[in-house]
Amino acid sequence: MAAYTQALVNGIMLGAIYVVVALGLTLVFGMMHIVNFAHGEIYMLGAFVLWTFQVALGVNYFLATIITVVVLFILGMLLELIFFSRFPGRAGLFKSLIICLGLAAVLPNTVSLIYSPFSKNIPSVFTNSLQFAGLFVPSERLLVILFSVVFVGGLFLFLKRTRTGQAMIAVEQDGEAAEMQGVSISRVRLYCMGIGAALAGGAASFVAPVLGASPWMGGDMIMNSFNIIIIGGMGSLPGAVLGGLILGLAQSFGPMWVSPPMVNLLVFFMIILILLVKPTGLLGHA
Amino acid sequence: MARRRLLVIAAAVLAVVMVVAGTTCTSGPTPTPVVVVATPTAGPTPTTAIGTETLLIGNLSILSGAGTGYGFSAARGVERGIELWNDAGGLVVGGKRYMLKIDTYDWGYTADSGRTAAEKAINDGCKIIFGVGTANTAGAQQTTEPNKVLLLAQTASNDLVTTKFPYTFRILMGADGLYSPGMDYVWDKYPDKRKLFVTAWNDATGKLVWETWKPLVNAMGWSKVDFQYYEPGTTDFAPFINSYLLPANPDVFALVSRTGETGLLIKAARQFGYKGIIYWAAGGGSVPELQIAGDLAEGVIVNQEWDWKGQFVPEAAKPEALSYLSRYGSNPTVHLITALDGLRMLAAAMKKANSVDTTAIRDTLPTIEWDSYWGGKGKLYPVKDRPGATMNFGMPVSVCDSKNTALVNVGFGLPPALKTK
Repeated sequence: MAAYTQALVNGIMLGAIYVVVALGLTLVFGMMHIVNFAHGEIYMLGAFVLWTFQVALGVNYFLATIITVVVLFILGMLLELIFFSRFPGRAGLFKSLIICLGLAAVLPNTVSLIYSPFSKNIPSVFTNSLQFAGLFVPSERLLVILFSVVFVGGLFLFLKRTRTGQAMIAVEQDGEAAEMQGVSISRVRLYCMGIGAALAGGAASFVAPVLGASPWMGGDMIMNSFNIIIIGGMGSLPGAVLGGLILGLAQSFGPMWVSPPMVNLLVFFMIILILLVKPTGLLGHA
Repeated sequence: MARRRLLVIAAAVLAVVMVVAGTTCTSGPTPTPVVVVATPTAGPTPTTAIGTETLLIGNLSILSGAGTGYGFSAARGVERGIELWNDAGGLVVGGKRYMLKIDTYDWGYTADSGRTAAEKAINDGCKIIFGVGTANTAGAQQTTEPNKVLLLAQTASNDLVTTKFPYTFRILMGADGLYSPGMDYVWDKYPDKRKLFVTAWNDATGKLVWETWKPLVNAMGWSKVDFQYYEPGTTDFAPFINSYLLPANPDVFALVSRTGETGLLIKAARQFGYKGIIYWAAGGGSVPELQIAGDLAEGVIVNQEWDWKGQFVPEAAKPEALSYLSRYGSNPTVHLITALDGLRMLAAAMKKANSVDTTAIRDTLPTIEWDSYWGGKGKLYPVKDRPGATMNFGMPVSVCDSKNTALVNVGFGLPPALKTK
């Protein structure tokens, strides 16, 4: 029983990491129709921005996290201004995809050249593990859950309670109608890309002290993120939250029943099953 | 328009800060060249007025992703060996002076990428290739063997140096020789710890390495040996640790694990309550990797990266290792010295064969001796129970304990081949 409880706790912690990364990806897809294959690399850049400020420049971790989120927000907007704004809407889907693939190839190698290809250690604020009822809960992972709740809650509040957030939802529902009502599509796209990247940067800020920073860390995360938004439904924010938790729990409980190489197979089998029953994903819509 | 300009300026400033921080912070490699005086003893001869030719040497290493921990040491070892060779005036063979030119490719960590890189090197004109890694060596052999290209590989698998592959020679020891001294150290130091759990990564390299080492581990007499593969690319090892390691409750946790994953395995094991001995046997062994686990890596035993300033390290290997440390700002793994030793071995074979023909060199290699970087005479030894399989001079292996995320040599072991002599 203790093993299952530990797996449940681990699954929630793992899911919390996935949720924040996947939120940015699904936000950008839902509102901008960009399948951002470079999202994992943007997440990786976040980890190195954090390393630069916290380790190289000696800035306090929490301040470095805020700086990272701001820097990634600006970076996201720059990507929109320089690349994606040239190919808006569904018509530019293929060209945007090529840009993303190019960025996914260039960014890790550039970071590797600047920072070396070795993993970087980002010291954790908390290194101890809490112990109760035979369970081990590393404090740094609790911090991940806390951050994740703050980020997800903050994003939903932003979308529901602010004019910009409402404008973003309007664009997601019907871009042309929103434009006729005076919503600036280009501005919404700018914010959307900025927020997507900021979410990736935020996720990197609280994941990198747990898992380290490596130029190649984006590849694995993007695979998991795509799995999540397929499970939850492409473009659905609540779906990303649900998908992240399902994937985290599956990867946590999976090794208890099958060998590690079989866990991925189990996950993909689950995805196929979900798509057969509900092709739009659990909370997605056609 | 003004906002856009402001954004671009802010991004430019940030980019400069990141580049400066990334290239100057002391925790990353710092390329500060130093002058190193070294004298290759096997072959390169003084310059005289004879015809000079250039031999292109393939240098295939792991320069991205997992495996960079030792890939860089190996690649820079070949680079340095060639530099020494040319600085000494090249090597006179068959009345011609041969200088070397390097042809470097990143061949990743898979059989496919190994074969592709080897094909590129052969198309470039390489007849001799240095390579590091196991799966990529296996892939490269598909093209080096039919083309009679000499492949001098740093692989721990005995299966890749059998008579099936006559043009492949190993310039490293097998997993049995390389990893056992550390295990012997643990065995002797903790006589009451006899329950072992081993993990290896689940791909061609991990499997070949573990299959080579397994018979020796099983023959040691552990009261219980549990084994489980882990998936390469895993970033969160909490499920693995909680599902396999902790239920097995071993005294010793031996890792055949890659850089990029080992630090995370160690960290997860400690965070979730594993208190036993951890021995990182294979897959790299690097200080930056241990730093990922921070304080939790305290006491982890390592055998592929050594404290080159400390005791229990061959004196003959120290100068090059220390100059590497000074030149690149990072501690080299044993693969630096094995690469340098490989070039000395090649020089000795070319000299004795009096030819640069790869078949002639191949036939000569088992008959030569050279002044090894490990001290004493280098020699290709046969591998026990593997007819036709050879390994380079059985180098001594230093065993390290990690203290404050640095390595401190605590012991010294000999591989089985040297123990019997």
